[in-house]
Amino acid sequence: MKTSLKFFPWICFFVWASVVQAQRLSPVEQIPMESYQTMREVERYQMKVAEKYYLKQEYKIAMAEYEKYLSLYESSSGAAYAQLMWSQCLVKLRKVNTAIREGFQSVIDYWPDAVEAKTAEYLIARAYLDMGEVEKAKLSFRAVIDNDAESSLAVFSRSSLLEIARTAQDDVAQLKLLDELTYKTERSDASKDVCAAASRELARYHAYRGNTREVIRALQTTYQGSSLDHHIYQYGSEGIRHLLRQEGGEAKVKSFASGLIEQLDGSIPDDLDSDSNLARANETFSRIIGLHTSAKNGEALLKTIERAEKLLGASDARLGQLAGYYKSVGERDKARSTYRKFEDQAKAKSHIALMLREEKKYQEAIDLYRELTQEDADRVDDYLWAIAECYEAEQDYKNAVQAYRQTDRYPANYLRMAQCHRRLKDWNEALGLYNQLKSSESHAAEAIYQMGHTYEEAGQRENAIKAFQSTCRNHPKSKAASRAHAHLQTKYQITATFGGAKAE
Amino acid sequence: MKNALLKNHWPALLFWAVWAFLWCDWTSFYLLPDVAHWAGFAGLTFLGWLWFFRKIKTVSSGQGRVLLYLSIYVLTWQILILAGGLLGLSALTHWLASVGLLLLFLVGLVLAIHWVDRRARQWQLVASDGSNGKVWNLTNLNAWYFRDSSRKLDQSLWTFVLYTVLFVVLMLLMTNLPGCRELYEMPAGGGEQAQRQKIKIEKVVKKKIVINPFSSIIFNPPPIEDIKLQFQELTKHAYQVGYGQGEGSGFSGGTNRGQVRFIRLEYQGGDWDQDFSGSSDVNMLMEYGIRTGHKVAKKPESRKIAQLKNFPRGKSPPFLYITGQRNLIVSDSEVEILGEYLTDKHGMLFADNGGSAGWGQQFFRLMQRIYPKVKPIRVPLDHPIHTTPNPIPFLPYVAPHGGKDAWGWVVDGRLVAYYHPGDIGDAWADDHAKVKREIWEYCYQLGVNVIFYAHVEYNKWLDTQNQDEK
Repeated sequence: MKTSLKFFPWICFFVWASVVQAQRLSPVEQIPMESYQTMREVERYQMKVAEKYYLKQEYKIAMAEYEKYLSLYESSSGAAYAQLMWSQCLVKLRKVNTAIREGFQSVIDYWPDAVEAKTAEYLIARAYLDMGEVEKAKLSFRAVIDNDAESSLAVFSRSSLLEIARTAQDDVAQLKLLDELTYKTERSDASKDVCAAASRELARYHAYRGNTREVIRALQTTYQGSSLDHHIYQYGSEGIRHLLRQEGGEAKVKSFASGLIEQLDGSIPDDLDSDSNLARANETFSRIIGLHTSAKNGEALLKTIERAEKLLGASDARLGQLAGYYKSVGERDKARSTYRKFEDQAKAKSHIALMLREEKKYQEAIDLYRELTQEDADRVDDYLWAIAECYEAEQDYKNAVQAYRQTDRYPANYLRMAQCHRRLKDWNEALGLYNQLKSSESHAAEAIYQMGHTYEEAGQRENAIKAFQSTCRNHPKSKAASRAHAHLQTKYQITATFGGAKAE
Repeated sequence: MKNALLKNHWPALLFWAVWAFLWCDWTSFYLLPDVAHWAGFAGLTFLGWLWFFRKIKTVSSGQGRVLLYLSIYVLTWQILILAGGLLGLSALTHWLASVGLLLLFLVGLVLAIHWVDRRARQWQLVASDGSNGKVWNLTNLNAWYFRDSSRKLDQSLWTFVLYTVLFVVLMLLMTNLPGCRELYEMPAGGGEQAQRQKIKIEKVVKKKIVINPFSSIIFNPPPIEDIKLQFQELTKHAYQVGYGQGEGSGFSGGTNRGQVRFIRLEYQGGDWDQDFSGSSDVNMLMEYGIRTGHKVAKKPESRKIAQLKNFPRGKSPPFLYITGQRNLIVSDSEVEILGEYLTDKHGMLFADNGGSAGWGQQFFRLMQRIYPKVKPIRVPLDHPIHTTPNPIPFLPYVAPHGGKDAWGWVVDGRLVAYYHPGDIGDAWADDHAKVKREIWEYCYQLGVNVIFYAHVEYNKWLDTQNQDEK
């Protein structure tokens, strides 16, 4: 209870942040400051009303409000923006041709000197891209860049051209655009996200080719400190894995990984007295070990762990990484003995039990989990769930049901129990459980759909059809309804209606 | 000699001349209507059999009997292939075509070797071949190009090679034989690629007069014809749905015998034939005919992916319908054939998700294999495919199995594939999947639009090809 209360403010923050994010206008949709400054109060009010509907995704109403603005304040400084947003509404309503013809083009024709005219040119290019008219889009994006190569619209256009080059698998064009966005573009508030994304993509591009220096150089344009280390590790590991899959990639991996590790090694603080420095050193060692693991360099990995232990002392996390390495190279006994060295023995047993499950030694795993239920009271539910899964994997469905019944994971445990009863051909028990699940709003559709299958397996054809039809009728928007609809049609040649589409 | 041949065998020569003309017209010239072809072929086959039964008793020479058997074989084989095509038995037609061709080749080979052998014996009976120079005649064992050690073997080999070359050349000339090579022709005509206009009529009734039938006052209510009609929107008169210059609704690149066909694509691994035996395809085909005035086929058809190779460039189907809800397995060679069909033959795929998100994903993967460098787009509601000839205000679907948006793949400015996410085919069936009338009506209209779009794009391409040739 206390734990959940502790996270409550964070959860609230993330929900709020995601809502705010969803309700924000994109940089090209925001009204230019110079237009807004000269607008009268009534005009601002009308614009706000339209914007409110736009953000609520009620585009038809928003269009009407922007149109109202245009008819009331045709000569105001916000008129061009209103026309632009009216066209954007059309784009959102998926009437892209009309948006270009009657919307964006009007902005260019009637307000050629306004900032919005340039935005309209960019949005026309985007609209072409949305329609699959790639050549027209390319020309339009290039025109935007030629008009003002330093503007944020030019940055967005380069980003779009990059998208086109990526689809066309044009490596030369991609690299050129990535270079421009990463190194040659000034980062403003509007363009920094695009440039950061480009730098990451460039880092990945070079990582896949084993160019250590270029990976670090690209990431340094966006990140610093621990964040830079994290990204070097992330793209480095990805690149190593990619290179190992290539023929003759092993040769490159060695020099690539050593270059990255050298860079990371430089981040280990000399002074380990403060907590922050200790944490940084731990993080960095963990990343270096991760890179050694990806490169399958066991010798260097052991040396790094030894060095880390000397500097920082023993740590379960590092031992876990070592065990992970042993597992990846197939030395499972060594992995088990490494887990046994853990300070937290419950965690060690849990890892060993998981290994036993991977080796299909379910009974041994169950015994270990039973021990854990006695030793680690905080995670009893997890262990019981694991025991149930072991029984289910062993096809010992009766014991699996009992174990699932002891867990506290409603409604997932009911679904699994019902599944076990169906395997035991215990139809009534399964149906009873599904019936109880019907009260859970989020699982009702799936429960009714599964009831249909249970009836079908029990040979009760009519009840099965009724259950499938009920899924379609009562939960038409669920995925289960779509499956029920298809099943009814294929197996019984019965058509159930969803009511079809609705006018927007 | 020639005169004697003409004098003695003129009925047979006339018979085969008529048959050859009918065949050429059927495959290339298209002067006669279909009925004439059918009547002609059926009549000739009937006459052929009558002739066969009469002659078989009287002909005594082996050579004559063989010719008779061969003639009746060719006639029957050809009419069976045509009948198979008419009945939509494509598999049987293809089997008949290939097996029949192989049989014809073998029989011909046996006859050729037999004839050469007989002629060789005749030459041997003659002491001298009558010429002092090099002997060129294949039937003569003294021919200069036979090796001394194996004259007989060389003669047989040469016969085999020459016969095979002749047979292949003949077959190449006659590859229009249905079953080996297939044609798709659009209906001839013309029209506009324009949106269908709606005429809104407002009835203007000046006064409402309530008449008491028992009133002593005599009223003269105005006759219904006198009610003034006022057009709110004055629009163009109903136009021909089609493309290009030509008489009647159709396409300028079409032919008189051409018709719009609804061909479903067969694939491995799943249920390509979902509701194929039902009413949806045929209903859509009929509705297309009614709503556009174009000539349409009597019934829908299906083809395997490999069979798409049989359609030549310029005479291939402008669109193919593909649906299902299970697996969609397409081999690499089939992907190549589909790529050739869509790009080189300017075709289009009309995909309909018949019931699962998985099928939609598999279709997207298939398109990714065909066009790895093309990104799918959400087809805008004001794209010509959604507006011409019927304006569609929203995407109609029966069930949103694969989302609520239509997707398209654009290559060189045209849609090469249109993906409908929600079982549009179900709405075309007799019970319309029990959706509201408005929905299934829009589903029919969308179906018409897609078929029409594919044909118009095909016609535009044909026009360009013709201009390039000029």
